[in-house]
Amino acid sequence: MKRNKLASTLLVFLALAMCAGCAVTNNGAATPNAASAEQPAEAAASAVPADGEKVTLRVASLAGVTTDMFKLAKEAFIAEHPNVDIEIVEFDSSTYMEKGPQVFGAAENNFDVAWYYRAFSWQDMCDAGYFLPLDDLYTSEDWFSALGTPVTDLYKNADGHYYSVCESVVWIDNMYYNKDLMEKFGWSVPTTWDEFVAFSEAAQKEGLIPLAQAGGSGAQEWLMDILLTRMFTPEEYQLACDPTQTTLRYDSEQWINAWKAAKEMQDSGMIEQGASGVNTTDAQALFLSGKAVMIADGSWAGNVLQSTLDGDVNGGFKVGYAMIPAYNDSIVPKIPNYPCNCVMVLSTTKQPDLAKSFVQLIMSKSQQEALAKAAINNPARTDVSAESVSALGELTVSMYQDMVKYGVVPMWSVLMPQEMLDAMNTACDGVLTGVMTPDEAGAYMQKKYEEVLAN
Amino acid sequence: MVVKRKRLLQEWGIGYAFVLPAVALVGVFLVYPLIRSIYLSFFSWNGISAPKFIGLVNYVKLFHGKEIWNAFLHTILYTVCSVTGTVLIGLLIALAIERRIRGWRFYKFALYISVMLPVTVVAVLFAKFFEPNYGLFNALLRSIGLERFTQNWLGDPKTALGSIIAVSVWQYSGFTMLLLLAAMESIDPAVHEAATIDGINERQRIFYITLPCIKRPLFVVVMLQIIFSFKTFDIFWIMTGGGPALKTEVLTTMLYRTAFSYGKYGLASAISVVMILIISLISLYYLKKSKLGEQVVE
Repeated sequence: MKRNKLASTLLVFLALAMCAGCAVTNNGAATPNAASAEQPAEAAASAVPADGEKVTLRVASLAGVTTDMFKLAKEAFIAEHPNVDIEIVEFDSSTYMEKGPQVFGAAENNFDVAWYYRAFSWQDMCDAGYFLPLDDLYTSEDWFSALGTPVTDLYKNADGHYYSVCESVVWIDNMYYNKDLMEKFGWSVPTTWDEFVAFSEAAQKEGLIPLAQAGGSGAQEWLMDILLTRMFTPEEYQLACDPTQTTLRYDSEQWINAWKAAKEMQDSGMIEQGASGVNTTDAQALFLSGKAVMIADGSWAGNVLQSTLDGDVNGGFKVGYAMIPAYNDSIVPKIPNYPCNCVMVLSTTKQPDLAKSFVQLIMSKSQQEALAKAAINNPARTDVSAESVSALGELTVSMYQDMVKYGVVPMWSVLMPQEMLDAMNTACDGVLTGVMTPDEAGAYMQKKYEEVLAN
Repeated sequence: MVVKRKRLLQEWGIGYAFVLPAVALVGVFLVYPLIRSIYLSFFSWNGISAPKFIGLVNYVKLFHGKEIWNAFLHTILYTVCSVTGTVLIGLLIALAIERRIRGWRFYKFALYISVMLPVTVVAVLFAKFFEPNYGLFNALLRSIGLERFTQNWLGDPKTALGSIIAVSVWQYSGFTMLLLLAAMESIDPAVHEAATIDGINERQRIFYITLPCIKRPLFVVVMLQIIFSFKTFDIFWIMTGGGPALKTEVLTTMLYRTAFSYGKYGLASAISVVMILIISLISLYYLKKSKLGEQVVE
């Protein structure tokens, strides 16, 4: 009898467990009660809570500098709103990239404000009504001027609303050089492509790699970002970066020439041999070990490289910064940037005005300057003072000066769907290793593009 | 009739009680996700909006494109080479250790260390070794005057898959060695003694005594290795990410990319269903041929 009871109990347990499993739908992602642009959140609480009322804003953050940024803003916000507390919940990058919708959508998380990339699931989340529009802040705070329209346009959804705002930027195609080696051999930093070729030949004669350029493990697109901004006219670049255009084909002469230039850089030894097998840390190792005179890397890398060298017990060298020259003299390249670090107000928030106030503070000039002064990140605003930027280090100051001088454009790889990025990486691998000719790479990209458009 | 059923339940009740927790776990964590995966493969779903039923479109797309065949070919190549390599090397080492060669204890321990290392550590380590400009392998080749053999190991489509297979064989040969050694050591010593009295030589001992005696464990090891190899993901993702030019793209990396990079969960589910079918067919065929499913009666 007892045995039967035990068996029955376990059967019930099994049934319940199965039901529990079945109850979890959509991988835990719950589409919010779309408080979208057309249906503004009903809970239009006042921005400032009543006296004595303690409220908490919950913020979803990426671990690292993003959390530092939020902590800095939290201090300033609480100073203004003493009866508000801000709870920052950190996530690792893989959780964010792969499970963003689940993080933001889960009702139990109850987030008011979040940080995310303007990439991965951002577009789908916009379309599904995860975020509240920030149009009023864009206008009242004039973020169009402060950030520049190439950046703000990136956040304009197909429905005409702005659902997020860029809080910090990085630039991709910086050229860092070994000042000691340049001085030792009497080389000057090349400012034209011809000078770059001449420098490259001279460096190779000394047994050195002219430019360490990561060309593997997803870094291929950076090489092409560099070449596109230096070979395409602004009009061609704008067309190339429009994911829906059909005028500038991938098998056009302009694109084929870009592939030829990549192949030429590899074959002439301007970049290290076997670049397709070199990832970013390998490229940095070549530069830090003095095997490569220069390295193409992101804006974040300059200070990291210099501090690594400063900590070298054998005495490191000094790092300099310059822009990679234009491929054609007629083109003045803008600086491709990655303006995808953004903050947003979630549509599930019960206190939308307060959440918006927090975003407003993050994007204020004074807070963006504080971000730079604390050397946390490069502010997205272009109107921050030179004095505040100086805290980010000599190299970053030079980059800011160039940014103001030449202007910025979002990178091709930022604007394209992931499938096109993967196609680009595959084609780049093919061209660099000789498996594909530049023409074949162009044809391959065009075919992929047509498939993506069709889907 | 009722009494008989009651008696049967009393007899078997305790058996069910022991089995039920395992069945529950398998049901919730294996059967349900599997059914859910099959179900999702008929939908278009980005993980956010409501899934939209599209019938067999995901399967048509999958088999219409070249990508799946490319990934399938690499998966099969990897599986065949990796299983052959790990089993052969593991068997040879096990035979050597079983014969108690000098320093056998050290070899047994040393060869198993690689199995204990996390795959991510091994993958990152070997990616550094394979680096074309300062990596250990090319440096070694240069130092012994074999510079012409230096390669862009992971960046060249001709050598990338082979390099990954080599790492995999290095890591898992210790595992097959240990299992096969355990099987060899379970052979009754009297059999070996009798054979020695009969004047058997070493070659005959291996082919007529050791190998026939470990036939069943050997089949199990091969089976396990086929399954492990077929679903390998981490080493590919870390070392090459499926590149260069998709020359190391396998079904698992394709599945991951489709789900988490492109947000096409329905299509990714279709890939997983295809993978399950392939691996089930291989396993069934192998079980039938090896007669592993049959009960051994001693």
